[in-house]
Amino acid sequence: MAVRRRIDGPRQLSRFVSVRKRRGRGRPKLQPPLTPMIDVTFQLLLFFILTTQFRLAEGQIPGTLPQSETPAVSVADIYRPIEIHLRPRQGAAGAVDGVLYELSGTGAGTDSPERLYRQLRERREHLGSDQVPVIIKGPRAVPWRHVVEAMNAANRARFRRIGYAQPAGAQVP
Amino acid sequence: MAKSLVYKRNRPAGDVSFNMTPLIDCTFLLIVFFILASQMASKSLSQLQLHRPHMSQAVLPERPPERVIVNVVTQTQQAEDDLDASQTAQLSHYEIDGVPIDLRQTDVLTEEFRRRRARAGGAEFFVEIRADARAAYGDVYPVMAAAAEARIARMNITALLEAGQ
Repeated sequence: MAVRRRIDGPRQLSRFVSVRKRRGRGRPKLQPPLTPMIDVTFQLLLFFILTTQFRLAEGQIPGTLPQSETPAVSVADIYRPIEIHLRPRQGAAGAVDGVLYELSGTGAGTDSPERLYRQLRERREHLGSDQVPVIIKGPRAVPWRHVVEAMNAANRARFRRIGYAQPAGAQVP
Repeated sequence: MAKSLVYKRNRPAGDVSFNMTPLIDCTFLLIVFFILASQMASKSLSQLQLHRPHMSQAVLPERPPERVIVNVVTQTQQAEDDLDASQTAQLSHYEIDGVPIDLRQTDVLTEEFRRRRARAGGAEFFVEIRADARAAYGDVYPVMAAAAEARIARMNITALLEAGQ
């Protein structure tokens, strides 16, 4: 007498399967519900994507460290150092309004990094050497961004020895 | 006569499903990547507002040199555009590998430079200064002086690359 059994889950209608056929089939697979886990996983991923802050690309500008003995370079050079003075510019009512880049040997300073670069490039072409030391000088309160601009302009003009002078009032070890 | 399978009655509809295991694996890999990347990046590189010079000459080094990175951290949390070009922000502290150093402890800076230079052996050693664009020159100079005191010859200034690089 045929026996009707439920074999493959609730969706399947009960139907007769012979013993020989049942022997050949594997056990039905048990799988936990994955939907909530996938939901939580995607929420985590979304959180990290939204909160991750990607940095702007950074690079390096090479420079020369000041020597402990003097603010100028420590070796005797045949070249007189070129000095870039950073002078705070006085605006209306005596307030500080930007910075002027003043190249030694030139007249008035400039607030344009591009103009500073052109002056440095002309000086280098006139001297015919990139080994001329360039010293950046400025008061203690000058913002660092202007120092970086001066250094960048000197680098762009292909000077290889760029150093810094000790600002007045700066703490040193 | 053979029976047609197409018109077979009571034929159950097939279950359509796809294997989600590779999808979950990829998702977990992405999560692990984001977790590790954020932790590794923040250890030695503090969140600073670096300056992007006009026609920036900053370049990426070809290979990571032997170096010590000093972060010059300011107190202000304002955006760079809020400050006047001539204004400076007050220095908060110096930082090496996430370890803060008080701004008066320049001898600690010197000792740390000497120690790392000794650890680098004969390899060329750099001091890399990452200073906030709003920091004052007088607050950054002690780092340079400490490096010079430690007999380090080479220095790099960190700046943003030219836009589009």
